[in-house]
Amino acid sequence: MAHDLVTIEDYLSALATRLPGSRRARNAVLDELRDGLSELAARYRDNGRPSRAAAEAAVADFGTVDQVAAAFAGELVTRQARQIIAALIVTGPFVGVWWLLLLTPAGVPTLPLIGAAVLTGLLVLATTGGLTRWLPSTAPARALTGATTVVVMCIAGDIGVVTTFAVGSNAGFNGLAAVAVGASLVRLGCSVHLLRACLGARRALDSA
Amino acid sequence: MRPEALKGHLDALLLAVLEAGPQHGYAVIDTVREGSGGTFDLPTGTVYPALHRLERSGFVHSRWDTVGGRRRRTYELTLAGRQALMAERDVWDTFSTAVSALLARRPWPTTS
Repeated sequence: MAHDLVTIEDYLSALATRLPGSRRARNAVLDELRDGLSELAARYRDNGRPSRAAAEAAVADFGTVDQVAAAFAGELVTRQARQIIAALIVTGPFVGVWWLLLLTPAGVPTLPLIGAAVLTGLLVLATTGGLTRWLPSTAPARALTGATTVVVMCIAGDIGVVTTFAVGSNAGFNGLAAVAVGASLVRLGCSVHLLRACLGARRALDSA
Repeated sequence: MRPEALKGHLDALLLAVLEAGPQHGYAVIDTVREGSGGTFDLPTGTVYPALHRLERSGFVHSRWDTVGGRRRRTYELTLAGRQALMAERDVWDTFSTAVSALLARRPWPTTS
C-alpha cells in the first residue's frame, strides 16, 4: 500500500476505535472522512508535496483523533439513541399483541409502564429530529438517558408480563402463551444487548 | 479566530454554502474556510458532525455516490433548509447592525 494511503488508513483506524454508535454509522463516517482526506491530500500533491507529506498534511488539517472523535461523539450517540428507541417502538406491538390476546388488556399489569416507555421514546424522537425546527432540541446525553430509560422499561415490562403469566395467570400454557413468552424472551435478549450499547455510548460520551 | 467564536453561526454558514447547489462534505467545509479568507479555520474533521446534525434536523439531505472508487457523500439544501437560512440571515442582519452601531469607532469627545 502506498505511504499516503497507510497514513490516512492509520488515522482512520485510530479514529474507528474511538467512535461510538453502530458499525454502519461508524463506517459511514469513516468513508466520508476518507474521501475528504484523499481529496485534500491530492490537493497538497498537486501543489508539489510528496505523497507521504501530502497525506500527513491532510491528516493534520483534519484535526487530532481526539478532536474529531469528540466532535462526532454527540451526533453519533444521538443517532444511536434514536435508532434504539425507533427499533423498540416499531417492534413493540409484535410482542405486545400476543400478551393482550392471552391476558386481555386488564390482565397485563405493565401497560402503564409500556405507555410511559412509548411516551418517553416519542419525546426523545421529537426533540432530536426534524421537529427541532419548532421544538427545543435534546442534548446527546439526555437523548441517551431517554433511550436507556426506554430499554430498561422494556426489560421490566417483559419480565413483568412473563412473571405475571407464570405465577398468577389462569391462562393455560398453550400455543398462544408459547408465542407470547417466546416473543418476550427474544426481546429481552435484544434489550440486554441494547442496554450494553447504551452503556458503551455513555462511556464514549463521557470520555469525549 | 477561536472556534468558540463560530459557535451558533456554523450551521448558517454551512447552509449558505449549500445554497449554490449540492456539494460533498469536504468541499462545503473548504468553501467556508476559503470564503472567510482563512478566518474560520477549524480542524476539518470537526465540521462534518455539523453537516450530520443539519441532516438530522431536516435542513439538508445527503446521498452517496461512488467517485474514483471512493464513496462520496453529497449534501443538498432542503426546502426547510432554505427557509432556515432566510431566517438566519434576518437574525444576523438585525444582530450585526445593532453590534456595529455600538462598536463603531467614534471620535473622542473634545474637552474644553
